[in-house]
Amino acid sequence: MNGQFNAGLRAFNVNSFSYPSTHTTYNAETVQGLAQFLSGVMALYAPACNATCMQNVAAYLWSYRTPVNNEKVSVKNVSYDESGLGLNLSCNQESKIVVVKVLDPAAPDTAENSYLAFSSRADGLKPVAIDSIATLGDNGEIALLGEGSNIWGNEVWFNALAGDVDSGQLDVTLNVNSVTNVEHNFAKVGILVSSTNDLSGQLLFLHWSGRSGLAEDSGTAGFTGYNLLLANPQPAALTPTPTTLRVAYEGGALKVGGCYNCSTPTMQTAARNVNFVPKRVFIVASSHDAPEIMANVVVTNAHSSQGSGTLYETRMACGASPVSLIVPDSLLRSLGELKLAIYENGELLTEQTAGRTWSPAASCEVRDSLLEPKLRRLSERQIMNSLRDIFGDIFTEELRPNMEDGAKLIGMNTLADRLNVNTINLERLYDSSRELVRELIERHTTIKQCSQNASAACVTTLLDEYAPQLWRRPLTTQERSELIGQFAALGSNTRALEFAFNSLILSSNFLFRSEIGDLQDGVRVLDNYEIVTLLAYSIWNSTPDKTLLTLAQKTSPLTVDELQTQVDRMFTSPKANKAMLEMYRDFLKLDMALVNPKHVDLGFTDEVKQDLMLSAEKMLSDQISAGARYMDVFTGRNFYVNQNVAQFFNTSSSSNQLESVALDPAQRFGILNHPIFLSAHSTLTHSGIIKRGVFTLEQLLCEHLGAPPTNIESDEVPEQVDPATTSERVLLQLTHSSRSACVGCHQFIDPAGFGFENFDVVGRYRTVEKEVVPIDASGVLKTASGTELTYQNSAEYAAQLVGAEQMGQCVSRRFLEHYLSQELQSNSCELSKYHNQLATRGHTVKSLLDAVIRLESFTKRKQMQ
Amino acid sequence: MSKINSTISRRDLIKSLAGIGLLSSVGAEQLLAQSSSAPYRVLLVALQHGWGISGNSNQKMSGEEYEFSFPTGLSPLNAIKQHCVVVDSLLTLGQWGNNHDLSYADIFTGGVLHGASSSAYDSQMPLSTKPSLDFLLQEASGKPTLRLSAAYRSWGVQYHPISFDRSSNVLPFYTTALDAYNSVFKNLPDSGGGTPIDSGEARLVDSIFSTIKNPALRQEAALGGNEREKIRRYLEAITSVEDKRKPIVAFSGGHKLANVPVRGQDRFKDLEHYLDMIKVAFANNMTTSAVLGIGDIHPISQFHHDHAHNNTQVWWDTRQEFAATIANFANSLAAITDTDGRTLLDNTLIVLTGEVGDGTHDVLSKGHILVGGGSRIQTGRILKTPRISGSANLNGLMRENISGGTSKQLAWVNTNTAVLGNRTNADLMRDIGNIAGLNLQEFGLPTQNKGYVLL
Repeated sequence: MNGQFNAGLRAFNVNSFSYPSTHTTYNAETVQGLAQFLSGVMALYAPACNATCMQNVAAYLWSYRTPVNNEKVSVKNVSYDESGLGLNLSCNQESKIVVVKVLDPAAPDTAENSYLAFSSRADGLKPVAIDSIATLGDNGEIALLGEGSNIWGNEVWFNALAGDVDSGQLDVTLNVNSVTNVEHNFAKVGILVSSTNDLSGQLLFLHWSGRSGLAEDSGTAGFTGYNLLLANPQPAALTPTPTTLRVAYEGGALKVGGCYNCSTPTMQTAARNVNFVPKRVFIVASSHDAPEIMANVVVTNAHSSQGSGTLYETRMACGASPVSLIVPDSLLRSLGELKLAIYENGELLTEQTAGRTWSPAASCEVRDSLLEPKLRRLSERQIMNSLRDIFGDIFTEELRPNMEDGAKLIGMNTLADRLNVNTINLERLYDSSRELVRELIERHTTIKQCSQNASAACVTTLLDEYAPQLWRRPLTTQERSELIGQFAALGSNTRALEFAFNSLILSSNFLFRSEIGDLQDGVRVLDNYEIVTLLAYSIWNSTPDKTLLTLAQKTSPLTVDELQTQVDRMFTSPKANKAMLEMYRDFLKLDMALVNPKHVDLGFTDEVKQDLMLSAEKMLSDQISAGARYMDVFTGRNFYVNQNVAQFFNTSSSSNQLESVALDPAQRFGILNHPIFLSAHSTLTHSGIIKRGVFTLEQLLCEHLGAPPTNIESDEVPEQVDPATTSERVLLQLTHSSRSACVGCHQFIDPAGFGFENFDVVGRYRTVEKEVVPIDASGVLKTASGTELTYQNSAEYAAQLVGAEQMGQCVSRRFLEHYLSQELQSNSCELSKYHNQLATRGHTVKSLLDAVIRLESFTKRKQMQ
Repeated sequence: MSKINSTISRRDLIKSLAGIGLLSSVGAEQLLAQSSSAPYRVLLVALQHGWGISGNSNQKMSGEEYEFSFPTGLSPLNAIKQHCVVVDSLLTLGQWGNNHDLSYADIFTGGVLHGASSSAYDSQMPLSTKPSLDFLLQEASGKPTLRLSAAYRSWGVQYHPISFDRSSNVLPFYTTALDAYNSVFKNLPDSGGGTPIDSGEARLVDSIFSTIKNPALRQEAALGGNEREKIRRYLEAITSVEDKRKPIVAFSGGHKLANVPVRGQDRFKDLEHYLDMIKVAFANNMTTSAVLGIGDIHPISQFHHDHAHNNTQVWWDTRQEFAATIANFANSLAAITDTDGRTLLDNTLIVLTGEVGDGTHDVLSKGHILVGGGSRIQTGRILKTPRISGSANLNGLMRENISGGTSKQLAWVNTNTAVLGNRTNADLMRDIGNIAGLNLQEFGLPTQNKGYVLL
């Protein structure tokens, strides 16, 4: 121990130890010296090596183990995505040959990961799966399966484990512990060294032979030279094992050695003056004939590399000019992370990891980021839209079923997992359906005629006409039979029609839209009927028409061009404008104004609410056109006013009808300053700074606010402050927002709400509150995402919000969630592609649909969990 | 003259008396229906902002176990305190966010995972992973729970998620008295026999329901996960609506609603009708369980932030009003003789709670008030739960979390000084369930089962 320690000390002067600024080359002896030094220090001299000393030693060892770009080699522009690994390599000093290895960083250091595996047969040298020819035992022994018809002359056929040799750094010892199943005298197990990566160059094969002792074959692209190294002492029996074979390249010469039952054979230069710089070494087993042999061996490589889990390796010239290396993804097992190691002459020059990223072009399917398959229950509006589009506008609006769906304040109401069928809403739907079908029979000319017809055939005819429209696909034979089979027992055409249409409407096939698809190659592919249904409800918020259902009949999948043709056609219909309006209305949660209570003194009657809602719809509808930018829909200086609601716009009107009026742009800008929007997001009597602020941040800007703390308390208003003459904005700060538990969120929430303070609880413009307190509607909104808006009043605030890129991104995200009925994370693959599509299409209203049909999840979904 | 030994059965005597007009037909029915046992009813009441019985409240219970008084804000309950059990302090949710929104799903389930903060139902409200007590009672009795909401809602949802089935589905509530009436009571006969059903209509209804099940069953078989669950709920709803549409049969009891609700009536009227419906449903044995949610139905400006948060007198006035409503309701139950000869109040346990204990969001020491149920529990007392204190003990309170492990239940409390109840709402719900005839070894999340409360 002391000897080793002293030897180590001589290598390093501990008294003047300093952290090296550059990485220098150390050979194996130095590494060994380092380790000995460290252990010596710990065992004998720990008190003398103080904390600084040990820190330096540790840092030095760490730098040696994981060197980074240094003076010798530079690795730049490393990229690893779905196409593979790419990098640029340059060497900063003289040109050299380096070995680049790409490794699995998680793979354990086992034989399976230390070697490449090959089989050599008549058709050449081929890589194989290592476990097809070898297994590693716990004791480090390898069981290598030997096959191959011959290993002489041009027939160099075998199984082998292989490794590269860096610049002749070869010193491999093979302990052949046993060989079983040997039948042929020339079955061989040994070390084969090649001057190339394959078998096309010079070869040297030191081996154990079945009954022919230890020998050495050599040649070029085959074996022509033979030299017996050690004879079999018992020729009639198998050559003895254990046997030790060793091949080394030392002093510029290939050397071989072999012995029976010994550990250190005597080395001699290879026979026949065979000499070359080895490039690859193979541990070979060849049976010569059937049956296969099994060789149990242990391999010791004095120059074994640190790398493990090798996925790819290559030797390449490295000079001052960067050289690119590209490794295709097919060789990289689609790992999430790779380790890149570069060696020169066995020395590790640099090592780094590369995490997998995705190029913008990478498909969502490849990223396993397709959306989920869903059943989507129709909303109340969709139920009525669908029935009207199929049968005509003959239904009383009051018969619309009340599904009690409520609203989701943040997000869209149409998410697939929100709308359900339960015992209460199905009962309402049943009652509505019965009444709707009675109206249908009474008011639909053809159906009424059938109800009065003596012949029952018309019922079947009507079923065949309308069932595919209601279920949005052809009925199966079984489904049709189940319906028709009941007609006769019902006694009359009227009963049969009631039965048929109620059964169709109450069926899950009507109530739920399917986006489930069929499983193909690991993903669910929507069929054409599901696709046209998704298209129809996206553009029209209603059922697919006959054109779409006919198109869906084609046996091959619908193409993007075919879908685009339909988008172009469907967008010209007024239904598209109506559906778009309904989406904006949901996004802004305008319906909340109809249910949120307001103080009776405000005069916010049901009639006022209805007129204000209609006013907002007209305003939005005017702005919605194919070529308009979808963010411009939120703008506008003209509002629809009548005498019933004029006071809420701070104007006057003598008209009973809602008429478009240009209001002062300094006071109101767009739908965010419309009374219905402002009333939806206020309290019983107050403007609701917090309510409006939270809604702005979470719904309009897609900012995520954390949950509020558990015990929300407010401070008392300071004695010196008179609430009657202090603005609500200031009171909020004094009593709540400035508390330490609250300020973290309120620094964002409050400025997001201040910008609406020019409007009272029901959206009337104001410059004072509490009769005497001036309104301050200025502020600076800074979002966690980096948006900053500075505004002086509410109109300015609304304009800046609508013009903010963050709101544009958020709006398109919410709309996509509406179309595809699933919540999306901000880093969602489909959302990213959607945004890219919108950008190329000008962010227009129509582009919202042009883009969605191009998403993979429009026609495919991931496998169901 | 031969001696005539004539005995007459109780049943024959009652029928005879009714036959000669000495007993009304209703009275006869009631007497005939009487037995030695009666079902135990449970009414769970969730009041927005709670009843003020909590550790943080500025009005506390006074007195000792059997000699106590309700504070001024709940003074109407003093008139019925002999029927009350006040459970002084239960640890309910823990601390990881806004306790209103996190707690709705936990009140009657004890099943919200720590860290859960949103769901598809609402972006603010997580759901429970365990069924609610009313669902378990419904399962056991085979009679659907009557679930009624008097504006117990916030944000955009129509009703807070407080009742759950075993698949974490939110069970629906009637949101107006008229809806509840139309669905549950409208088609019931006043008394006696059923309403004749047109055979053609009956055949039509049967055909509709039997036919629409088939494609759904096929669909259910082909689906997995959440999507299958949607069809399962659909099928469950079909069965429920189908059962309601079957020919009506007579029911015993003969209790009728005092009034029929009208469209557009205010929430106070709805509440009044709801309590009447519950009374009639219990008395007529239509169900043995009900859930009632009561929201902020007083039109008071800034009620939540200015009054509830500060437990102001305005807030307490509303609690007092609700307390009076409950006291009146209890008295109305006490005026009804149940089938076992006891009062309906004796056989009905009313549980008064809320998503928080009081307006300051207390969920760590939430008080519960039980009214009635005296046939199976001892009433007229304050029940003090065992206490837990000390930093090590309080920091050791754990709750199952969304990652599959457990988390510390307390986050923002000073564990060096706090003294909390060492029983939970799960413990209370479990005990109530067992008193009502269930056989629950555990209720809600396993960590929330700490020991007996009532038993």
